[in-house]
This record gives sequence, C-alpha cells and structure tokens, in this order.
Amino acid sequence: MKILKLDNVDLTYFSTNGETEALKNITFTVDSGDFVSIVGPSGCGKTTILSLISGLMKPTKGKISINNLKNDSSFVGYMFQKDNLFEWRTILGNVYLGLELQKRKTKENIEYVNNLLKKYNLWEFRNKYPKQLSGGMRQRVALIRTLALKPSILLLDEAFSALDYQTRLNVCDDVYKIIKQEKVTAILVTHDISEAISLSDKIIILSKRPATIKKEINLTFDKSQSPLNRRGSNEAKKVFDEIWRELQ
Amino acid sequence: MKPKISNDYKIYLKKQKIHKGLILTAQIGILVVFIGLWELLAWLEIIDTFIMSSPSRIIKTIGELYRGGNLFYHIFTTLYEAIIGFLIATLGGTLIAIILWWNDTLRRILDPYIVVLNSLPKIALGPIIIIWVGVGTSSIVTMDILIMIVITIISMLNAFRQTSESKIMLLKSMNATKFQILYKLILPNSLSEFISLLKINVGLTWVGTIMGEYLVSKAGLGYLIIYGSQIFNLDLVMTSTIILCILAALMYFIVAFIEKKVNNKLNS
Repeated sequence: MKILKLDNVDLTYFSTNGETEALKNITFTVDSGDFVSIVGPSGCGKTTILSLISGLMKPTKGKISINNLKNDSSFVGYMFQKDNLFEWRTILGNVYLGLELQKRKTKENIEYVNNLLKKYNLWEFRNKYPKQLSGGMRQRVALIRTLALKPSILLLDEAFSALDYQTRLNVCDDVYKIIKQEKVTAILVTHDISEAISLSDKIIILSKRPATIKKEINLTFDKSQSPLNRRGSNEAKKVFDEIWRELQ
Repeated sequence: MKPKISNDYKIYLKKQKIHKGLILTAQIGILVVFIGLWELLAWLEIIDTFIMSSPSRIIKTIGELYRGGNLFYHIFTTLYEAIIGFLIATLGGTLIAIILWWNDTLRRILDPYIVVLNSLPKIALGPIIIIWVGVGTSSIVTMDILIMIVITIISMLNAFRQTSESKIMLLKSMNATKFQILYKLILPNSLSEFISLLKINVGLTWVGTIMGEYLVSKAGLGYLIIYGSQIFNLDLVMTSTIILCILAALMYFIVAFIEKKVNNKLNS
C-alpha cells in the first residue's frame, strides 16, 4: 500500500542573487511501513525533499500526496540532526510539547506517550532536564516527542550525525527497533552510505544539483536483522559498491 | 549514605574555605580602611572637611535630615522615579521588541531609526522633555525611560532573533502557530538574556533618574546633590551620594538574587 507519492516534483529557490534549481522531476513512492533512505552528494537538495513532504515548503511544480491509512491525523513527524530539546523543560515537558501545540493533550494521548517512555527506558528520567541526559538518550527523547503525535510518516534528517560513532551505532539500532515496533513509515536523509544500507528497505540515490533520481535500489535483507548485524553482511558490501559507483 | 571523603579532599575543601574567607575579609577590610582613613585625615585636618566632608559629618547630616522629616521623603521620591522608569522601560521595551520580532518588515523599516536613537545622547533631549512633558516627576521618569528603552529593545530583539532556526523549524513541523512559537519557544529561550538586561537596567535607571533630577526637580537625592553643591554644602552632597550608592547596591542585589533563583531552576 502506497502511503506517499511524489509526482514530477520540481523546486526552484529564489533569492536576490538569482534562482537555483534544486530538484527536478523527482518521482517516487513509499510503501506503508517501509524504511526509505535518500543519499546523494552534499548540497544536492536531500533536505529540501523532506521539507516538501512535511509541508514546510511548497513545490514549484508537481504534486505530493500522502495517503492516510492509520488514523485521523495526516501528521508528518520531523526529526532533525540536533535533538532540539528545550533545556527549560523536563523530559516529560519536552515529549508533551507537540500535544500541547496541537491541543491534543488528552488523557488518552498522555497515557500513550507515558507508555512509550516506559517501553524505551526513559520513564525514570521523566523529571530530569535534557542537560542531564546523554546524547543517545536525548535523541531517543526527541524520537518519542515526534511519535507522541502518531505521525503517519516520520522524516529523519541526518538524525544521527551529531552523535559520536559508537553512540551513533547504538542509537541507530534503538531507533530502528522503535520505528519497526510502532510500525511507522520512515524516510531518512543521510550522507552515510553504510547507515542507509543498514536501515533501509529502499535507497534512493540523487544526482548533483539540480537533483534528479539516479537510481532506486531495493534491499532484500532479512527484516528481523538489526542494523548493526546488517552492516557486516556480504550483501551490504555489494550494495555499498553499487551506490559508491553511482555517486562518483 | 554519605560518600566517603578522602583526607586530601578534606584538605582541599579547607583550603577553599580559607581562600573564600580571605576574599571576604579583604572586601570588608577595604571599606573599613577607606572610611577610617577618611575620618582620621579629617580629624587631623590634613583634608579640608568643608570640601571633602567626613564620615562623622555624613552621619550627622543623615540625622539632621531624619529629624527634619526630609530623609525618607527624598529617598522615596528618587526610589519611586527609579522603579517606575525601570518597570516601564523594561516591560515596554520588551513589548516593542516582540512587535518588531513579529513583523520583520516593520523591523527593517525602523532599523536605522533605532540605531540613530541608540547613539543619540539622551541628555540632549532634556530641554525638549521639560517643555513637552512639563516640570515635575513625569519629566524625570521620561528621561529615565529614554535612557533605558532603546538598549532594551535592541538587546531583547537580538535575543529573540538568535533563537535557533532549527528549533523554530521543529515547532513549524508540528504545525505551531506564530503565537505558539513566541510563547513556547522565543520567550522562554530568551529568559537568561532578559535577566542580564534587568541587571543592566537596574544600573541605568539610577543614571536616568539622577540625570532627570539634575534637569528639573523639587525633591529627591539628585535634587539634594544639586542643591547642596549650589549652596556649597558638601556634607549634603556626600550624604546624598552615599545614600544613592546604598540604594543602587540594594536594588542590584535584589535583581542578582532573582537571577540566581532563575539560574538554579534552569540548571537543576
């Protein structure tokens, strides 16, 4: 079942210095429950695609449609490179933020979020402030803050890049587990090819600016494998070479 | 259970305590020596008390003012002006900063005017204020507000605009309204800058009030200073200055105390 469809999407930026074609003829679909990664040379407009899907930007041409299957909300969750936790709020205050903004802080939703915190070992830290948590925990809090709004699609913009390598591998595993358990459709933008391979069902490779889709690769890993286990496999090496050649 | 403390750590803590005590002793010492020396030199007639006054004469003057029923009248006049000016300038300036943050076009239109107003020495406006606002407390408060409000607008607007773009994007991605971005993010995020501003303004408000009283006043500590200097009563000038010093320090410590409370809450 298709949850997201981009149809011939173009995007051109305007500034006083001139106009920049960022995206050209971007067409792809995402299946419900899939994990899709977008890789490409830096500055090619990967993040722009996420901004378009989330509705923060409007395409110059083409159409983006989101099929709503899950519930009433057609909400698209967005996770950034920085966790953006509010230092003056407790962990609980941070994860309730979205519910407050959308005036959905009902008993039911609060219970849902509290359960997420309990499930992912953050409940005992609920009254702490972000400063008192490690980078990996903070990123998990940021994820739960987004999941609190029950997004139909979750966008991850270099969501692990700010972490040190070891934490990054662990958080990657954690986040993958949470996303799969909560059955969320996810789209990840990354410059890390191995990371994309270890997490994704499908990888979309973009060209230099103006970005067009160079290739789509469907991965056929055993779905029960953790990202960390996938990294070492033979298939991963093969796919890595393939992507590397495309990006050259 | 208390954690075990090593002997070396105990020595370290003791050293720190001694060091802290030393600093406090020196701080009080300087004050005592200064006052003592002043009094001694006056008593030995090495300095002319007619020009320099002396601690004992200052105390005597305070007593005279008190007995005449004027001491608290002058103190409260100045204190009232300083506090009213401080509140109006701080809150009004912050409100204007919010409006300019909200409307970027307006901010860009007014930008050169704010820059010019900031560099203008406000005292130059004194005669205009007296003519427009009239002789009295309102003129003094107006001068006081003018001293603080431009710097308040500039520093608060700066704080608002420095809020991380990525946090604003996060709120937008959660469908937040502009008003929600303001009160959920921009305002709490600028709290520590606001507290620093309070500390700056609590100093500036005395500058503004005394300057206002120099221009036009019938009462207040600034009035006493000007009046005292005109009749060459340096005891009165020194007394008013010392009282001013104490008041300014008290008000500063109150703000510093609030800052500590807020920081404790933020860092707990």
